[in-house]
Amino acid sequence: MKKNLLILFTLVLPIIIMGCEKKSSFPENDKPNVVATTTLVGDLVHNIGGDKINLKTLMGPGIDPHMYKASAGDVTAMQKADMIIYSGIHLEGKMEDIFENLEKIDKKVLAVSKDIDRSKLLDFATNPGNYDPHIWFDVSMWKESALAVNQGLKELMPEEAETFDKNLESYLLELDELDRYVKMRSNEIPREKRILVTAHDAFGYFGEAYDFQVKGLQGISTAAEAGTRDMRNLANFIVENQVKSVFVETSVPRKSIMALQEAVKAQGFDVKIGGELYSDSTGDESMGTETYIETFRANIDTIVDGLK
Amino acid sequence: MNPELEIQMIAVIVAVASSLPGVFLVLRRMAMMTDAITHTILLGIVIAFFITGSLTSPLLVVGAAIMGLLTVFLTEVLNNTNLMSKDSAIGIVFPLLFSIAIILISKYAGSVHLDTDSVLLGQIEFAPFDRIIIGGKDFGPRAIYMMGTILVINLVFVVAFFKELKIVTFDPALAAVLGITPTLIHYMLMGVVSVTAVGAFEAVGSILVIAFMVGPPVTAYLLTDDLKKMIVFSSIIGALNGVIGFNIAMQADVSIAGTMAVVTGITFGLVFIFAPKKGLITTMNRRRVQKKQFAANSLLFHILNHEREDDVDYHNSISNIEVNLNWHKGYLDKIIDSLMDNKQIIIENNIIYLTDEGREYSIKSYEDIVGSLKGAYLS
Amino acid sequence: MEKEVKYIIEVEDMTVAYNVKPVLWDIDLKIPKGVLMAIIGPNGAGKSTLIKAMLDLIKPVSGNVSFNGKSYKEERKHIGYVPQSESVDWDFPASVLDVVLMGRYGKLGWFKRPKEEDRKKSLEALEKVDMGEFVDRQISELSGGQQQRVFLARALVQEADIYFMDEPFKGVDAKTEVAIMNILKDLKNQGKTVIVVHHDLQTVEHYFDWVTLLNTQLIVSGPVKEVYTEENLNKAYRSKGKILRR
Repeated sequence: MKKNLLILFTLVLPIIIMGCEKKSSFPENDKPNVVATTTLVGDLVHNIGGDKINLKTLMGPGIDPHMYKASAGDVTAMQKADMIIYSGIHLEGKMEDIFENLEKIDKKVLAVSKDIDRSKLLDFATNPGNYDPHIWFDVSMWKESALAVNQGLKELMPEEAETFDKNLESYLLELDELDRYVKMRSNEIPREKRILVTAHDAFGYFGEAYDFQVKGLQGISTAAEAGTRDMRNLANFIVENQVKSVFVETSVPRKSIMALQEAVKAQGFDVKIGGELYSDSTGDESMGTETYIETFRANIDTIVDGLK
Repeated sequence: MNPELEIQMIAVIVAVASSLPGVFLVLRRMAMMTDAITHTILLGIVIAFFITGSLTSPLLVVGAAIMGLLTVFLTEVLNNTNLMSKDSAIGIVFPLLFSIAIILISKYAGSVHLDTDSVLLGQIEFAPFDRIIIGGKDFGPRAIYMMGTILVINLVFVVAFFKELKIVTFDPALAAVLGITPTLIHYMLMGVVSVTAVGAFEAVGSILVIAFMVGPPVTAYLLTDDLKKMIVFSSIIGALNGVIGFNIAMQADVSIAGTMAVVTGITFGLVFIFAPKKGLITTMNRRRVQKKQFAANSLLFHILNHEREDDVDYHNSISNIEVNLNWHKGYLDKIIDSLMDNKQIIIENNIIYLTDEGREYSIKSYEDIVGSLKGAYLS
Repeated sequence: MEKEVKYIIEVEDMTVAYNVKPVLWDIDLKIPKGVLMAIIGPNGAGKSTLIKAMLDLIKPVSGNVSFNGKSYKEERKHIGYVPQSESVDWDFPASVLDVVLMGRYGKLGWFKRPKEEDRKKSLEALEKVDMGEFVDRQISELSGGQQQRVFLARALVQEADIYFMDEPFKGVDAKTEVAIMNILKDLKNQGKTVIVVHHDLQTVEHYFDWVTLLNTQLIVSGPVKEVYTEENLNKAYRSKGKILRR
């Protein structure tokens, strides 16, 4: 028995020792540590905070926030964080409750969506009181989010208020320009042809803001599968309105939208898959879409090109 | 606040709390139950959501706990009909309740982000940040209190009902005759399983519920023949898996829960291979020894049967035995060598003779085998 | 005034069915005190079912069982049971002594742990069944005969007045069979009633003094000398040939 245990131990030991390269979550310096949840929030915080803060974004590009699983390094980052900034409106689910509770001790906590007027939020007809959290594809809402971040960072570092204000000002100008670009591109399509069919309902606010009729195949929750009747109704809708393209999304599986394409084909109409849209996160550097602005531009280009 | 230490504390508490009922679950061959519960609680969450209309209501967790109890209740009811095996009973209840939940979500709550993860935290990585803070004072992670309470309940339950749990798990019919109602104990055990599973789900997530409740008991089962020791070993193994898993995850910056589950699997695998009595190596060795022993006996019987015949020179010559028993020359030589070492045979002129010792042994083992055969024929 | 009880067990109108198929049909059975009785019948005749129904382990469709004129629940403490050995998982982590101690659990009551006295009685019982040297042996390492002997020891420590045994001779070697039989005769000599589900027709006359022939219905029950006849056996086994080798 003892001999066998010894063998067991010698086999386990190397596993414990191996991989000694520990990823440090924040650099060692005097700047405050800020944790952002999604890549979109991270980009926003980066634009306002610049190099005055140490920033760590928990979720990587292309990760569905509902499916996010923390790594060991994330724990250290959370521990060292002076401030946690998240999207809110239940996008991060249960994590939000935890963040809010942490506010009672030593951490500052901020939901970028906190100042957005609840009346502007999309309520779900079936379940009132529960709002659509995908606020970022309406530039005006993202501008409000930028204000909230600016305010939050100023509370964190009052001494850098001037820098944050300057950063905010220039970023708001960039966002205005983005807004103009999105509107300009949208106008290339006649109003009645502005129909966006995607894999899940992440584009509600986009539709409101830029006059698109948005049809999602499945609900807000990426965990629920699309129902067969939803599928049939949507296929009929596509045929009736002669929709040219439907779109897949980076953080949800392609297969449901491809099933939709087949359903449309069965009715003798051919709908293209117009490309991939970013829904819950930014793209990555390899695609040149690692910022919010680039991500949104890529989306609107994909949509407009697909529908033209 | 030291999340590294707290995560390991939570892991140890969950591991021990899960091991206690987990051992009996494994011995009842109902390990699948944990998997079922971690899925069916979704239905409890969905129904509680329809009642409260809110995703943040604490009633959703209550709904989850009730559904866990309902799952074990339905399984026990099906089980008690004796119409199907325990596994089949779980296999019916689990998909039924889970799919009702999915249908309800897609029909009535399609647009709301409603799934188990949105109600139960289910991430050990975040457990140290889910703290109890009253009046600005930090009392530590909620999970430690919650799972600590469950640990105490489980400990009291197993200690108080150890004897009853033992007999209803081993021999429910006798228990019933003795007046120890197996149904009652089973419902109590499964209730404890359900509460532990839901609590552990909230504290550490679904993967770890299964990993902690099933992995360590199965591993401990290979290491001991004593129920008490099995529970103790299981708790220790579970705690070690948690601590080792955490440290590897920190080094490699990967999912803590995932690493703990992987370590659970590795520990089991190592024990499965190296366990002193029930391990693969020991078992294979034992089989080889038994096979050789049996072969040696066959050879002895052969020689015994023929030693009084006239043509003993022919029958008991090595070359003829090789043909008759149809063994490889090398294998035969090995058996002969070991018998000679035992001084049970001697060889003269290539003919095998039994020694007196060998003859005595052969006759005795022959009678043993025939004796036990007679018993078998009687039945 | 004390009611004179002639029979220690009385079964009235017992019918047991799985779904619509009757396994036992309208059994009326009276067992006198102090007999060593075999229950005999072909496979599927309901032998095990009969004792399980008498022990309240299976709910009968109809019927009533009384022990000493009282209900099963009242008399439970005086009833011992040896289930079929394959009804349990012999890989269960327990030693021989652990299993025998289980026989004491009924006397102990809830929450209480076995005491030194229970341990002593268990060891004695193991000596009686000639398993004294296997006290600490893991039960998975026992042969079929040894398993039966452990079960028998466990029944002995129940210190019951009435014993029910489900095929105690199944899969045991000749030596164990003799050993078990001696213990059963011992129990009888102590005035206990022993009811055994049995399958070896040839040994009935040798081992038992009372017999019940069963095939869904009760064929006959009585002293072996009177009722264990070729004719009754043919009725139970629905055959015509000679069954007993005499």
